Amino acid sequence: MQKRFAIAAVLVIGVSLAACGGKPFEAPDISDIPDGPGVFSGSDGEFVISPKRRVRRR
Amino acid sequence: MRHFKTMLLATAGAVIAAPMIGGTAVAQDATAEINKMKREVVSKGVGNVQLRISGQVNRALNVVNDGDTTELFNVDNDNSSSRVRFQGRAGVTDDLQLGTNFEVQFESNSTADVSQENEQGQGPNNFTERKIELFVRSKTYGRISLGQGDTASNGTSEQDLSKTGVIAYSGVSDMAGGIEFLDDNDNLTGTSIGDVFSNLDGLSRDDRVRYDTPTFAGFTASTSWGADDAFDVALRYASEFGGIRVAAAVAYADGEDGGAVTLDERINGSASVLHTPTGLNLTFAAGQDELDGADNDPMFWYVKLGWIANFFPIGPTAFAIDYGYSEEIDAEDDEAQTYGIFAVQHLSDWGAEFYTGVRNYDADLEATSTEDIFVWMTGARFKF
Repeated sequence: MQKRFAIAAVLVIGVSLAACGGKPFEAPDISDIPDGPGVFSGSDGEFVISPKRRVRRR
Repeated sequence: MRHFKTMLLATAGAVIAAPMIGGTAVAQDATAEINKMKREVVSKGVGNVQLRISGQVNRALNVVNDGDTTELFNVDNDNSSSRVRFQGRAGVTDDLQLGTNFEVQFESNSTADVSQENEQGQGPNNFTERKIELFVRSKTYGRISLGQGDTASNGTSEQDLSKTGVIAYSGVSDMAGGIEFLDDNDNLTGTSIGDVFSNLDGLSRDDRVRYDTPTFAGFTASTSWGADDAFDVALRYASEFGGIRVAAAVAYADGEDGGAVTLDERINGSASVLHTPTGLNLTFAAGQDELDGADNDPMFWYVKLGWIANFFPIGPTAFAIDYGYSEEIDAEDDEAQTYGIFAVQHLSDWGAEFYTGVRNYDADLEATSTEDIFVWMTGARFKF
């Protein structure tokens, strides 16, 4: 009974929220490393290593 | 003790004030030097293949009064442990991406481990796993992940927009989980804060296969399957309506088979609402278990009222008060409640947070009556 009530509540709230529209955003994961700048990595918030772009010689 | 508290407050104040008062010239020199180093060792070449390296150090001082004595602990804050992360990303097509996550934590004197009998040197003195997974992500079809990582239900009790999660969230025991309650004769009961409080947050992290749908109208559905037939499903929602942000999640989990006591079913969820113009926010979480092989029926609920203010140009200042209640987490007829007040100063451009707060823990154990535990935490998290 309790489970059915919980499922019904979730569905009603969910449908109501979906009907409201709104602009989706990415909710923070509070146990994770926060998004945004880093003390040492600056505005990127991370050090990024990529393969160097090769320059073709003619 | 009063002198010691004053000293702690003065130290925390000086640490917070230093960058604002006289650190500008030093900071500019340091920034120039760091930019030079980045140019030398890091190249941003081909945009669709990247290895991203980041991490955080989250350390704090805990002053704990267990009803008999007051002691100071130098801890790694288990609300969000110190760790390092390597993320690989490769764009195969505009729609398809391959990725890896390799994230490990290194906790020295974790708040989950230190206790009255073990004040220092606690922890494996090594890295421990958090995420070791690979994934394929399609904008059209969603994401499938394989390996050690978040199960679908992990984090569904932890939706929180208050910006105080580094010190206070539904996982109320993380602040001082290893500390044991004393009985009326000031003897250790063997029951710790972590034993009697839980936010029943799904199936945590595990070795699993997980699928996430693409986000539709703010909704994302997920499911995962792990060892011993453990599986879960979750639904998340995050959307903003004219200055009101809403984040919510709900999950159902079926635990592992086998063992003397096993998790039969778990239902949990949380929701957080933030009014962005005023910074006022409200967070709620709850969950309930059904166990096989035990008489207790664990449950919890948690509520937090917060305010995000903008006093300083360096970043927002977040305040919160909260209350949590847990029942039969460890044994039948046990009850526990906690309340606290917290403040976090964000340094937005630096990826740093300074925080302080106090929390009281009260356990009503069926076996014995206990003293309250009072914890004052002050610390900082630096992302790097």
